[in-house]
Amino acid sequence: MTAISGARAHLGRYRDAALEILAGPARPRQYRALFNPVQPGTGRVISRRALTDRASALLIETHSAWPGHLPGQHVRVGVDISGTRRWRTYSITSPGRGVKPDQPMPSHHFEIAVQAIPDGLVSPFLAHEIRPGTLLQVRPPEGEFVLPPDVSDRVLLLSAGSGITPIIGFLRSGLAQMDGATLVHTAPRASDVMFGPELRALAESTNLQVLEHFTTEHGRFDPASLTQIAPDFAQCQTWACGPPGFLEQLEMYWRAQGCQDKLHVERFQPRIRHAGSGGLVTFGDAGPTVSSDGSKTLLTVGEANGVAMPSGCRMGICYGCALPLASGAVRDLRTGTITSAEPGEHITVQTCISGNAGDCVLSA
Amino acid sequence: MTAVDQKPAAWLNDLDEAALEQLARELDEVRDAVLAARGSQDARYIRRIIRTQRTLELYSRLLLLVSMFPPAWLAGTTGLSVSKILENMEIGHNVMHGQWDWMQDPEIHSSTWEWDNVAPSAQWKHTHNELHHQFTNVLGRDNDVGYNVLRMDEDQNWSRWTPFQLLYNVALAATFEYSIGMYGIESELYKTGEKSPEAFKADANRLKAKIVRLGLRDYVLFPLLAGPSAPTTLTANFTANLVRNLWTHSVIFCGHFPDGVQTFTETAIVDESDGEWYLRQMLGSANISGSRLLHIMTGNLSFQIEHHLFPDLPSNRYQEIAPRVAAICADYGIPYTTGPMPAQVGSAWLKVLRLSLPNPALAGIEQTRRRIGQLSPKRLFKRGGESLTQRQRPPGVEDPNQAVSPNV
Repeated sequence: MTAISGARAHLGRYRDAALEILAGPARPRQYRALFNPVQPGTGRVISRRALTDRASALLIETHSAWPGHLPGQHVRVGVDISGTRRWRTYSITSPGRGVKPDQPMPSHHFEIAVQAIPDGLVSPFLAHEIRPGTLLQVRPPEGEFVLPPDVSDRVLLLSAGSGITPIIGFLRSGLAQMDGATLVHTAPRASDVMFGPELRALAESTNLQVLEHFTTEHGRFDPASLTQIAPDFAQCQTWACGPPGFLEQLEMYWRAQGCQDKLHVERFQPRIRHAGSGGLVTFGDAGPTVSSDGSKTLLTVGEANGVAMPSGCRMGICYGCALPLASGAVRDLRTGTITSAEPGEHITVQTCISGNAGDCVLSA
Repeated sequence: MTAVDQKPAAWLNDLDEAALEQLARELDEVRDAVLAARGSQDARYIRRIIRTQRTLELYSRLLLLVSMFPPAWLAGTTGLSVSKILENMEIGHNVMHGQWDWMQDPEIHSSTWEWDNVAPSAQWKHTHNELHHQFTNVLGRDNDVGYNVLRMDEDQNWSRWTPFQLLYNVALAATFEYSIGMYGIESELYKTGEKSPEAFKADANRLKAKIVRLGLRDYVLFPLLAGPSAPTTLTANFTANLVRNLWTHSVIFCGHFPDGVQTFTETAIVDESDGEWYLRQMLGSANISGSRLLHIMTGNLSFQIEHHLFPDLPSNRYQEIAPRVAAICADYGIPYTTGPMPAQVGSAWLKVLRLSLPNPALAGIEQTRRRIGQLSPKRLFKRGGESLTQRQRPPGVEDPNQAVSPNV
């Protein structure tokens, strides 16, 4: 048996090598994509369902090689808007792998929920405009904010705004095995609650207790009110997700009660990008980090600091100097256009015509 | 024609500094308008072209598996030739220029694209994007002027091998991808010591590896797959590569060698301003007029002038800006050289033939030609591609093409 499977593996390798050469210099998957555009790393929107006036749930189909996710994990999604690929991260709201929900969902399908940020670029597009059939790029799920598979006690869940998205994933995956759960969710008003009807239905039919706190009516949520809502909160494992201010408030309160080890939080990194006139430039893992006021090109700054910078025409036409921007923002010194990158995005910038706009990190 | 060794602006019609700045501003506006409009329809265009090319390639290769039947051979070879031309011209060349980098799609990006041509992308990007586009038509800096083997300008040296250069050009055209590959490893820089032996060896090995890989594909694996059609698949693949070589050679020759296109010495580019750089690109390039299909098959290098002004604008936009660029040229009295492909190719080949003669012989011919011209009101010789140049030249400016250089 092992001899046969070994031979088969050998043959498989030869076949793959031959396919690489036959398809070269393109890749075999690029020809396969002619027939099925949903290749590994690609997804297709199946449907968009409005959750509120400003939020929608997107059902996404991926390749059968999709690894699945744990409840609470997020996924990086690349979407082409006006021809340019933009990457954002969203929590997965569908049940985690291994869970058999009431309505069976193929293991290579998943759902995300997106709330439009006013004046945002990507979230309004995903929440209001994207059409079924649109292709997306999807990275394997990741994230440490996950529901432990063996949770069986009563749990406390706290969320604010779109912070409900990983929490709904928890509830859809693990509510049945919990000894009850209390969810405190805060939102401006009832019509802003994503998954509101589903949560209220769960509260009717299961051991989930849902408390909705509307800030337009009752003001900011005060953690001290938990002593009435869930007097045993200090003993409960607690998961919380929401804007930074909300989480900081909770962390302070839990610390004050001496039970901070029970509180698990998930932060959505806000994309606050003040493209300043200067900042720190980091040249690769091994290279130096230097300060620049942003008026000089990254190429000049690098060379002045002894970095072996690739370069070409030094006038922005040949792309011989292009380097990946690992994170941060740069400004095209000719046009003033800002280009920014989140970690993990494939964005290259021409160093001979770009200055740093705030801090930035270049990869070697 | 001899190389311009003064500032192009002074040589042409004495554009002053203010006029040059205005010229640069007007051209920058053309560029900015395209940048502002660039979006999803451009992305759709390049994806559609890539999809078309891959589909055409796939079905052509499948057809060639039964190429022992002549109609299959003919259709498969035609399809594969067209596919290879599309891949090299409208896709590879333009993607590697960074024309589509703004899409931030790693699969259509100058940093990742490897083309179906034995010249490795990294080497080609250096000699083409960096040297040729920056130093367009500057003798001694832009090796595209004759590719180190042809004498394409009076100011290039004549040697005892030059008389045979028509034959070299035939060989160059037939083996164009290998010539580009050889030229990319910069053996002349290695010989002069400007390129280190290590760098040269590394480049040569990369070139060898790519030649082997593409050879394995076209001349071993696909023929083997075709079984009884192996010999005909081999000839089909060979033919497709040859057709692609001849076509790309013709397109490239139309870009910088037809009559009316100017060359420059290194003194002409000292302290070059933006306006002067733009001006040199326009004087040093020629367009090809023709149909939409022709433009796509040339990778829109039929808009060579627009491409040299804005090498990183998406190729599908060149046609749209061409009328504006031509109008700017007319405003400033700058020649805008264009002509149909047969005329431009003929003109470039005629130049190869003409310059196989040494300069004194050329001067003799020129004198005889003038005398005949004085005798007869009708021009006995008419050279392709020149008429438009002359029409657009403002009155009072002597046509530099007619001037015999003092050193002849």
